[in-house]
Amino acid sequence: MSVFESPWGILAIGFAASAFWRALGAVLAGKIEVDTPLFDWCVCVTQALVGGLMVRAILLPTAGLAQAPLLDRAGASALAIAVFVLGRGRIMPGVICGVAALAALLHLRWL
Amino acid sequence: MADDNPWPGRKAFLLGLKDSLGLPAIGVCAALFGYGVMVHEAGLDVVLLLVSVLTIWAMPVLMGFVELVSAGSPPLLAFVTLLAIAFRNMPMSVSAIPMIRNGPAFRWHHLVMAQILSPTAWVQITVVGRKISAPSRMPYYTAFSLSLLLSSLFGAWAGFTFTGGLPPALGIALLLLTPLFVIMTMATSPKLSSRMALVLGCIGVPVLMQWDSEWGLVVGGFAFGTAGYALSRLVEKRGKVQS
Repeated sequence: MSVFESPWGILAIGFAASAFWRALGAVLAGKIEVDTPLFDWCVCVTQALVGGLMVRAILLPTAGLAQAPLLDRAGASALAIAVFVLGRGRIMPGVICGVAALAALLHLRWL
Repeated sequence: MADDNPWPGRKAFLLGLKDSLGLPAIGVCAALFGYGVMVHEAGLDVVLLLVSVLTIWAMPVLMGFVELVSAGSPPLLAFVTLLAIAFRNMPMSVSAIPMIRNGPAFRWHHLVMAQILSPTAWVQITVVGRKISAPSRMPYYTAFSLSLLLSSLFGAWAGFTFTGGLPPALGIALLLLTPLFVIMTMATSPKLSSRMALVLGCIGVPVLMQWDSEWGLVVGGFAFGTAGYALSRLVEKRGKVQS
């Protein structure tokens, strides 16, 4: 296994990727316009990528969450999203409802 | 003449501290608590957890990092994926740094300012920053951002440390916290294109990852991101034609 395949190696890659864009942004600050179609498209790619990764972490988890049945995970997430939408985009109530619902469902299942 | 105020930014620094030590600090602390639980579940150690928060300091990239480590992804894939995820940091820095700095020229400490920038601090400085004088913005922002970073480190450490002592149902349910937080944070984007790309990505990327668990993520991100962008342009064009 090479250094970059270890968790510390992946962390170094993550830091490099994160710091690169931050540094580039700091250098270019005030010199470029961010409200352009190209920037919009790049942000869209990030949104799709991260969104997909998060849904996968919920629906197809590799560890931890996999102990909870799919139906419970999907139901709790759907409730969280519903509370978020009905609450006009307030994040914390949605998140808390989702986590509490999953905890309650698992507790009832394991009684 | 001697300056009778050795630290002119003290007032702004304290104001930044005060503004962060409420909902902003509680929000990031809770989100990072979930991240701490995830890292614990992934079998990683607490030093790696804290260093990852300090160095990456962006929730989507942190989530990507722990997912890629758990999946045992090859370095090239990890690099492409994390580079694509971390892109969001750039427009954030471009728009926030001119609000913070004194004068138009680039200075090396702006790199540090960019490194401690988070979406919460970005919103704060772009909204509140306009209400405070230009020289006060740097100490205000520094205090606000450092306070959030410390809250996050505490949250991550607490999640990692206390997950073993929690009731099993709650310990597992807390793993839902961070993915939900990230999705909802991204869903608050004011741009239609971003929201459409998010919805399409949430549906399409996991399907593509079933086809290829490694490159399906990158291919799906580009495909569904582009589709979301194109669709939003179409919707906006139609809206303009009809009005």
